[in-house]
Amino acid sequence: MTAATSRINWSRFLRLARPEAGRLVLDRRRIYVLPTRMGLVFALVLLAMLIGATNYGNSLVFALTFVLGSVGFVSMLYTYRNLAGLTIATASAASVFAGQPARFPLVLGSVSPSRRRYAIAVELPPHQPVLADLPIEGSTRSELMLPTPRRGRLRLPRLTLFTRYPLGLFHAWAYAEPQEECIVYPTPSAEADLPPLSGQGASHQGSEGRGGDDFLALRPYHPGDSLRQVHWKALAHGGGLVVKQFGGEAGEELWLNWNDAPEPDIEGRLSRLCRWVLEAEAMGLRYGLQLPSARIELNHGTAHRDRCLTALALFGEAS
Amino acid sequence: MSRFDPPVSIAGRHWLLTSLALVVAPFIARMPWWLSLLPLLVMGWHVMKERRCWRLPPGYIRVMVVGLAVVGIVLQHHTILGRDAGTALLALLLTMKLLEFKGLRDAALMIFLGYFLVAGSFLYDQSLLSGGYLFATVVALTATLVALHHPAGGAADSRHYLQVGGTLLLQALPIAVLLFLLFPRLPGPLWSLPRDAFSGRTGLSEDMSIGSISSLADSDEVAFRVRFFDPIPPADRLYWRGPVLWHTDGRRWTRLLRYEYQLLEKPQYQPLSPPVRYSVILEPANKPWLMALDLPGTLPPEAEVSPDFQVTVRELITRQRQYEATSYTRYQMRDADLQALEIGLELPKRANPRTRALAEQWVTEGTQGEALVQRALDLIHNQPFYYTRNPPLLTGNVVDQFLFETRRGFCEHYSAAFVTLMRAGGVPARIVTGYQGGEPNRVGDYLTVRQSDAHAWAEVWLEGKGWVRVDPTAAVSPNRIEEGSDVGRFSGEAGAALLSAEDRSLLLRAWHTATDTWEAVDHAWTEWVLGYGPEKQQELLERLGLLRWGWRGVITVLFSGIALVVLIVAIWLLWQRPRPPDPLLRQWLRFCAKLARRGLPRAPGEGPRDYAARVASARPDLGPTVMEIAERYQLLRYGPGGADAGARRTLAQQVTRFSP
Repeated sequence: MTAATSRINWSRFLRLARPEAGRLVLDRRRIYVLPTRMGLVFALVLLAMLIGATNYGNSLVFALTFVLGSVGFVSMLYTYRNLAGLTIATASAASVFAGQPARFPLVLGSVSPSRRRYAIAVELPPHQPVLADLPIEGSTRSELMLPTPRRGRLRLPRLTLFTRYPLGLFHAWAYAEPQEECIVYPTPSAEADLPPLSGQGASHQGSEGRGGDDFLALRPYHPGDSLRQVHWKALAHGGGLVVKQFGGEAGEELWLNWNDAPEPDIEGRLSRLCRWVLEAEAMGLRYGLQLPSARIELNHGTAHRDRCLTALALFGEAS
Repeated sequence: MSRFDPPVSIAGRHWLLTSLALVVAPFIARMPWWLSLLPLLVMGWHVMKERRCWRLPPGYIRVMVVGLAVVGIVLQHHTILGRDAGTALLALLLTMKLLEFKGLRDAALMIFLGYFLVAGSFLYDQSLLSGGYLFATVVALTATLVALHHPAGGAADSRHYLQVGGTLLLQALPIAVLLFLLFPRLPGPLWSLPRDAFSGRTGLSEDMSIGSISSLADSDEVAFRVRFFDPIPPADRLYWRGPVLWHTDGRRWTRLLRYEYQLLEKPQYQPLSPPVRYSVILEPANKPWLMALDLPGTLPPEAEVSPDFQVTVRELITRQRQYEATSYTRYQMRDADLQALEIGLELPKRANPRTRALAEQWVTEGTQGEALVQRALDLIHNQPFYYTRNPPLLTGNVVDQFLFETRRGFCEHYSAAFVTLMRAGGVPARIVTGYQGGEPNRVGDYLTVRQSDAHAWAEVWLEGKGWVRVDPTAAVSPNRIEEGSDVGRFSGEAGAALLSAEDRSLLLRAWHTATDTWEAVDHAWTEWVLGYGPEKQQELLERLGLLRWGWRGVITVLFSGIALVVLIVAIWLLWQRPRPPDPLLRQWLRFCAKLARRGLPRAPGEGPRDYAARVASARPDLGPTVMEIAERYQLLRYGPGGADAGARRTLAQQVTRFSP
């Protein structure tokens, strides 16, 4: 068993890391400090020097040994201080398709902003740790990239923050278990052909429709609405953000049905449906999604598209 | 924990080279020149690799260079073990490692090795200067370690590393002092040391050949220091007695053999002056004898006095030693052992025929005993004998050559020639080696005796007077002394005259004060830092009353002391000093706190305007005030012109008056 596993077990034993949301401040109850392997080597060197000093009766070798021992000891406080008061803020990652890396934003800050922090490492276990400095009164933004081998809900795993600055004799670390996740959509399949159009608008199948041209009404802006539909004049007049709704009677309508997908397996079908959703959205169709477990009514727009993709991503998972 | 081994930054590489160069420099300086080429070449290559991107020399060359280093060490020291060879080899290998270290781990190990080599340097030199140099080296090594653990560092961070390293050392110092004073010191070596453990220590040896003392004359090293409890005796009585030499082959003089010492009896003597009490701090010379003023009276219990009044101890003196003694500078010896007188007349039959002929001629002319002594001294005084530190090389019958041809010499020449003359003339005589004089320190009130004060004189046995000291070197006419200002001391008056002449010059006096102050500081360093061993520790603990509870008490005090210091350092380091927030923000936070107390906390991320609007709708009675304050704050914060002192003050007053 390596030192690493034993250390993790220890921490589990001492304190169960609980999930936490938003911003986390590292205080003394969260920070663990142990000597590193280098620290042990250093101790051995000091021991050798102590024996040498006794053997040769050499006062200055004694003095050097004691000074170095004390330096090592004080450096433990420095290592601890480098981590204490660090704040970690995380956010959920934007959804991606399986295979693309998920990028979780991470902001390291400080509750005592008058001090620089050096070489803080953020580690997501299978990867090499990423080192960052924190300037005085500042914060460091970075991204934690995680591979997404499959669709579904990807939780940001427990992070380890550690530092060995300044002398590398001690390893101070803390765990952060952020409640962040990334919805990983299925990988769109390669075949782009849509199933046959259904509903009233079947005859109008074509590329002209883009949600219709006829102005319907103004409604408040929702995230995901196209900027082209924002009623800018109304905004300029102080009327707030509203969007013009178009549509009209048209609407080539398309039901994307689980049973229409030719693939035999679940993941293949989800891939196919994912592709269809993207195509339908790109063509400006009104489309709906029919899954064995759920049904999403006809609509269009990026928000709708994302709803559909999320439903595909979480297919089979308890939502 | 996966292997954490980030690469070393450029700044880290610079620091590594600098600090390791500082570490190995003293070792390189001690190497013979052909061996020192090796590390210099390697360091040069390293610099070119960093600067000009030279490639690493191929692997087989590196292996060959390591092989060369080992061969060189073996050629020089005939071993690869022991202090000299071991440390030199470590220094060489450490330099080689510069060429091929990989990441942080390698570099950190090199730094640890560097610390170890600094300790090795202390085995050679513990002087104040060397201590200062090596402390600076330790600071540099620590700064390097900091740099190594900051892989993202740039050239601009170099000063920061130095600062962190220095601060760490300063903060560690109180704990180190506690440990230094109270950590239990075990006496003596734990196992037998390699033979070269204390070599290179200069000092008197068991024998004397022509040229052996003059090699000491150039050494400024301190032999011992003396603090007198009584007035310091005059310079012409400051003869520090060392080995006494009896046997000779005409060229080399040696001590009595062990069994001869057992046969001889110690002669009685009559003190003619009150005892002089003094305390000596003897530097280790790896010899089993103590230095005492002629003639030694009371001595430390472990010391023994031989029949020829040399003070010896059972073991070699390998560390500084302090002892007290009394001596009688004027004395009268009773009759000596007959056996001793026999040995005191021995001369090799063939050696130095002219000298023997001269003495025999004097005897036939009726000169005997005391008159013979005087005649020999007159010869040295009246004939053109010169005192010089660089005498011509003598071969064959060295005494003959010196007395009749070269006539230029040092104390060993004069004492050897004089004793040879005496023995040939029937007067029992022997050579006494030791030190003469010493340099009074005006600041520290003690005497420093250096290796350059090493001296050799003679003792002759005269009927009714016993053994009498005669210093033939002092008989050299003062106007025939070459480059030897220190020779004035041989005759009391001449020395005194020299001293007063010196004192006349103000500049010289200032110079002397300066050197004496340095000397006193050095003395304190030697006595209190270097000399702090098991005995001194015992003394300190007794004085502090800590020994009442035994070592357990000492360790308790040590650990409580360390805990206290660590607590202070920890508070200093970890105290969160909140910076005063900007005054505008402070007023706003005060305002928010007041509202929060009334159950209307500001939501995170809520701006002043939204917050005020929400408060106003929840508490219409507060509405106007809240809106006004929020508006003013916003204006001050984000508005044009911003920092208007008057508006700020109004805001502060409003917030103060505000009581929801």
